[in-house]
Amino acid sequence: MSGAPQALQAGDRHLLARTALEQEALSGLCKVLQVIAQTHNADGCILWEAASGGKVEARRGFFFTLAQWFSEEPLPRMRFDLPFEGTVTGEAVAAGVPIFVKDCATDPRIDTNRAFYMSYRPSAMCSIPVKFVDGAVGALNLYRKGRRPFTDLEITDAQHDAHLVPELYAAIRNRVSFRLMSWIGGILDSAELEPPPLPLAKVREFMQKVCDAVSDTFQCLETSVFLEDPFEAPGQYVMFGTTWQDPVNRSVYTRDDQTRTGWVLKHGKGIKLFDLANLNLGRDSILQEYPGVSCETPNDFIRRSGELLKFGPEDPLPPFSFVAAPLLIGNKVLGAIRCCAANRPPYYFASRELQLLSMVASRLAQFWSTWIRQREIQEENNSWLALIDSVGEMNSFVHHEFSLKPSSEILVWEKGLEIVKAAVKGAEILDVRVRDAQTNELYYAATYGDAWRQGTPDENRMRLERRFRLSSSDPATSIGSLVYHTGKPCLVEDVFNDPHYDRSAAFPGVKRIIVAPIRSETEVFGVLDVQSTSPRPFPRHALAAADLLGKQLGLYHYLSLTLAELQKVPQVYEDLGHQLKTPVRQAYARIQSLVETRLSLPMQESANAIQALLLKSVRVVNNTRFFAELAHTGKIKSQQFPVDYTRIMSILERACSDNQLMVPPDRKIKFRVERGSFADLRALELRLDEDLFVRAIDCVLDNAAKYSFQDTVVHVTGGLGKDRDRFYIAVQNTGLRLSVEEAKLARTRRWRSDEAQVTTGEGSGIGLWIVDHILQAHRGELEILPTSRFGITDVRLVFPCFRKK
Amino acid sequence: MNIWIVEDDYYQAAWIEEVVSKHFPGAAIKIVRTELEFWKVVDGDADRPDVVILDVILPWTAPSRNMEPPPDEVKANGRSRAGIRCARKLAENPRTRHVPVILYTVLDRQDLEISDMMDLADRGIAPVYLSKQSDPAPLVKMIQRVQSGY
Repeated sequence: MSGAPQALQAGDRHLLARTALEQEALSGLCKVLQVIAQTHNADGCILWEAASGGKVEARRGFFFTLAQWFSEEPLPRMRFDLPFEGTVTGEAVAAGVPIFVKDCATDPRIDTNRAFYMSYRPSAMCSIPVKFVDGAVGALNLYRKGRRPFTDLEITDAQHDAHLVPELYAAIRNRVSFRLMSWIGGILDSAELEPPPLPLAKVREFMQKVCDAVSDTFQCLETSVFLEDPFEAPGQYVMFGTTWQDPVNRSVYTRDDQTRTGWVLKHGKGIKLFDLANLNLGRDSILQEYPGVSCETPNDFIRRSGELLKFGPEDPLPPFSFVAAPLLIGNKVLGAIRCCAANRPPYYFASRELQLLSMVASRLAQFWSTWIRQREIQEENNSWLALIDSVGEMNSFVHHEFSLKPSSEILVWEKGLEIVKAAVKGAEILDVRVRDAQTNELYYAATYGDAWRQGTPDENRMRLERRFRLSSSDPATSIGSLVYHTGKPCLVEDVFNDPHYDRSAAFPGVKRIIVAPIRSETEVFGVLDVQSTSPRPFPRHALAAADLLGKQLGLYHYLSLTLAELQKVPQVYEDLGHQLKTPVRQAYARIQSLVETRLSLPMQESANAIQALLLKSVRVVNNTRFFAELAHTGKIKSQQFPVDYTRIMSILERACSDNQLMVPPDRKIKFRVERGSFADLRALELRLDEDLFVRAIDCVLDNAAKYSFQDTVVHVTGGLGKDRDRFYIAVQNTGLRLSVEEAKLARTRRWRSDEAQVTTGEGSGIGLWIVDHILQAHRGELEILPTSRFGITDVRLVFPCFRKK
Repeated sequence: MNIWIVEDDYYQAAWIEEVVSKHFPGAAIKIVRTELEFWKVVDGDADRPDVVILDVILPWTAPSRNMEPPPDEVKANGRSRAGIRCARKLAENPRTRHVPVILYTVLDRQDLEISDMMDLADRGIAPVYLSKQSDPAPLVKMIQRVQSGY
């Protein structure tokens, strides 16, 4: 090449910048070096960096290759490191000025025995110190072969360009980071568009794409992603993707593993090791930074990596860097991603690579935690489906059982336990303990699960005959006692560290227990125990499911007590049974179709339908319970507290919105609370049992909707009575009108007007009877006012009112 | 294929309609919500159904200002046997006499009066009973069976 070498001119600098901005991988820096070298008539160029960015950067006092370019192939044989001491590069960096060598063959500073010199034989070189944006130092070395040495002017020009290199490298890095994050975002976004939760096989496909993207960017031989599937293999971090082309030695890690990946999983921290082949060189500082991490060299991996990088057995090897980052959500480690063995310059990973990998890990953690949540929802949905279906079945079972004479309540308990076992994953040992009123003890009334039969006959008998004292002085002596006295379900995750757990009665290996009360509205009859030996926690819905079954068993218990009364009016009970079956089954079908997406239902409509059907089921269950309670005792128990305007408005509006949901959309019936009519209530308060109040309002609104004409409005108004000591809440609808005589009869159990009987496909005629009793419990009154206007019925709930304190 | 769905519950009717249209693409579906509406449809000029999916407990009619009063038979026996009356209505009409009927109900089989079923059989209608459930498969199978003449 002839002519005087020149520094990059404006146009050339533009080329340099454009070249940098076109690069999509870290090795793109080599292209930048090519432009600089060719501009300065150099035949080769190496950018060295002193790898001293962190405490554990091994081999201080050495430079390592960041990028290189040579005009000829094959590339010269060279080491990837260069000592500070005794080298031109070290001297240039130490002095902070460029140093040039006019004749490499004779200059004493050049070690002509080095592999690089021997294979490349440069005639002249110059070394220009540079400073990287993160503070690290390095040098840009230019080499000429068989040409004249660099002149002072050429070096000054090259120095200008060399100073741009750190900025250009930072620009490449930013671009690469942005590209990688966009790439990963695109992969995971498309994964999240699939119907949730993604099957594991699909998750593996997407994780493989992530590994490919990271390996492509980091230019490394291995990128692997490990995830914990808390449903199938809790505590195990399984490989979901890898770019390592051979079979892996190990595809599962745990947090207790004495490995580098295990360390990341255990500590939830990122790790960066400079060279897996030379861990012993930086052992102390590595252990100081990462206490307990394995410093064992993975010889097989190094050997195979060398082969894959096409290094011969005698060739100097580049550093085999290792970076790994945990997938963290809060303190929870969901997995890890690791990269090692770069396959082109820069061969080593620095803190900036770990930062980028941590960003990828963060996005992956977000994806995986969403997946886990979706799986939880799916599991929960499936369990609820099973539970709802089972409860529907159980109603039929109980109905049948109670129609037998004599009927057996033990069979009902056992059926309940069977349902809990089916609906709650991990439920293995189950029982119902019922209170013996005479001794004030709990005894086993029913049991379920193999564990109850695994001891010797004597042991089994003794276990079944155990009794549990319900101490009234200190109700918290045992979990059963606690639940019995509080009426609230309880989950103990670690029974052996819980002071209330009676170890003397424990089954071997039990880890956790749920105890739920079996109760009617106000009275606890016993408890339902669900125990598990599994290392896996109960699913999230388990406590609620046990609580629901406890209530259901309580209801059946009440029904069994009132059997005689019920059998006098079998039609009512049958009606209620049918009413319950329908919404429960429909809700089940709706949920099932949503979960399995077998039917193309509009999501919102389905969600509304499910909510409406469940509300309806709850209402029927409550009515059944009230019916049983009233039939048994003749009155409803209540616990009343002062309730003010704001709370009452909130209850009424909530009730209206619930009822709105339950009315078929084609009937176009609206509900409206006329807030203005409640103005007087601001200075007053009512003493209400909120639960009963809600039931009463619901019932009246439900009736109003049922008998309203299409496209009408149900108005809820309020007002003070004549004597100003009572406040009424009126529900007015336009529809089938009651005559005065009919209004008098409406409070009677099982009474329905002629028209009502033929115009509705449901209802048992006990609604207003229950409302009447609820009002009696409040010292209030139910008024039914057929107005003179056509079709308008005004049902009033009248309560005593008190001046607000 | 013409399928009539006689079901008063809005959501249940919508679900049956979805199941039927998914498994019998192209079927013409008619939804009937009350007993009175059913009577009118049977006596009207709607296309003859190939299958009727019939709920048993049905209201006479929806509340309205000009409500048609129920006949004495309906007043006397109420809503709980409405489906049986509807099946009888089909049998009385020569056009619909041999239409297969599926009684799709929450009632247990034993809740259906034997005398009612015998009466229907005498009139040439032998409805098949299917308990309402959450799984659509039995309903789909039953429609296929009755449509193919068992």
